[in-house]
Amino acid sequence: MAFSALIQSIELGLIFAVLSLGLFIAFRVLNLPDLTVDGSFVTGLAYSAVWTVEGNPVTGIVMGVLGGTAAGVVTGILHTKLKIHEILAGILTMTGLYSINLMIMGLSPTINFYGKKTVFTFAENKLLFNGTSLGKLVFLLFITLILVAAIYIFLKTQIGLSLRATGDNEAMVRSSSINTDAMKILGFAMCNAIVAFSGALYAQYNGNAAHSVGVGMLVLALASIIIGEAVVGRRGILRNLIAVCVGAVIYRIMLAKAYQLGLPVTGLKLFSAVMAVAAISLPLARSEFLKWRKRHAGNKKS
Amino acid sequence: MLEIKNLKVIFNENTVNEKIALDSINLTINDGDFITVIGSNGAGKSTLLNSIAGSIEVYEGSIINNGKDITYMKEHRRARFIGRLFQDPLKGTAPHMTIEENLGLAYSRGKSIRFGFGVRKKDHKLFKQACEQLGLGLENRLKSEVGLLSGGQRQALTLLMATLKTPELLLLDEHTAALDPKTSRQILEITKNIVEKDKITTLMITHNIQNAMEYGNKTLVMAGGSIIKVLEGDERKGMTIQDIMKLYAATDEMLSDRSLLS
Repeated sequence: MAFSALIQSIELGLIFAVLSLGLFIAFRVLNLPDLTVDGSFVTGLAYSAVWTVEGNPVTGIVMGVLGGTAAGVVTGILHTKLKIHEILAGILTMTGLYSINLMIMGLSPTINFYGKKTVFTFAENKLLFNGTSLGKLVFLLFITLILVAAIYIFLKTQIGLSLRATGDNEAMVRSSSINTDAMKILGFAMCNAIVAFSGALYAQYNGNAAHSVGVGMLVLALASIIIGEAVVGRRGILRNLIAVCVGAVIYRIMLAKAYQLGLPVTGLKLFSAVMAVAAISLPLARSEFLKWRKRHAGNKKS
Repeated sequence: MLEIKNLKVIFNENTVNEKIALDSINLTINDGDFITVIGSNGAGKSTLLNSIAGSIEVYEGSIINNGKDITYMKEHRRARFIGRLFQDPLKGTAPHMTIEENLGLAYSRGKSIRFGFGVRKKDHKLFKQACEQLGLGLENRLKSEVGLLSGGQRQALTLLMATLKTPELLLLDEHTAALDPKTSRQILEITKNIVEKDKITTLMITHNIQNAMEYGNKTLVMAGGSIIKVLEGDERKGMTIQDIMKLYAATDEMLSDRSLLS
């Protein structure tokens, strides 16, 4: 892989690390796989695009994050107050967002703003190394690290502990004076705010926004989380958060490699799904294999 | 002081399975009382505790805590002044959080604003001291995940969490029933020490009649959703297990007569 292609993969990997950190809050901390992310990613993307076209990239990101937060609150209310199953609640919000996102984008399924000023503009062509600019990479690395630190500190606060306990043992939390419904809504809101942030960055990074890009974002983030856990491990929160970022970058590098080996662009979502299945089933397959080998060895001896 | 007036709880109302789980219970629990509750399965012991804690809906009647009506107060609001332990030792602690994080969570009970760190440096000493009084060596494992502890240790920790901020009322629902006899005895002794030290008003369900007589200052005998006997003072001291069994037997007869007639 060419050096510039590797750098680009890592940059995209870091944008999806942000996405995966968002899902981490719902999926790992609260134990609620949140399908809203397929929609809220596009909400972030859409706001980011329309405001960047107007020349306000930062406003675009702020609006995107607010939009994502609102989507998360809706899913949270559907799940906690209307007692809708968490997967269905996510699907409902995601489906509704499909229309809302199109409206945000002014009813056009794609917006191109290549060449407009974005949050990445200042970093372009800076820090040249081997003829490739590392400016964007450093900027994205900085954003990811700040986010990891912020989530880490948050999860150590009293409210963060309450959030974690809600995902860990809801029965206990209910009998310990914490409002579990509020915690879940908060978790959904944070998850989708961060996911929308990732979408907003993604739009400005690419210089365009496509309405259809959201499909499979949950699967992608899931694959990243699980790959990261397999590589880095999951003891301790900080390690967990770093694992998520590493997983997202590894995923993106593998995808770039697959493209290089001839994966057509249409195969992207299939690749995500297969990767997620592989990442989930590998630990199981390994332990089954070890068991099988142990039995086999035992038979030989007797 | 907790006053329960004319409390009635009905399950599956207006269906063929309708069951009166609590039938017009009247009970006054004075501050500092340590009341044990006995009765056969289905007598309404857990239902009584659940309705005090707010996890089930009350059909009629009222529950008044220190002059304040809490009959319809939400469960998590009541949890600010009611500590609770269940039979299942896994129910009371968060397994993927460390001992000190669990304690930190319990220590913030009753505060509505939860900003600031969950485990503060100045709390460390307090948590360590609290663990030391259990005598289980947990004070050296504050940074271990709770999932690694045994059932007895987890139940002891749950007890500590329920009483770290002294509650106005402590509800124990057969909290030693899932433990082996030795550990069960140990947890009961720890319970007694903590309850006596902090003078916590306590309601403890048990199936062990001997424990019910030995611990606490009053004993409620329940059957068929009613309190059939309140034992206290000299009468309680004179009671043997056989006497209690006779009480149980009497209610069984009474119930079967009633069901025959209906």
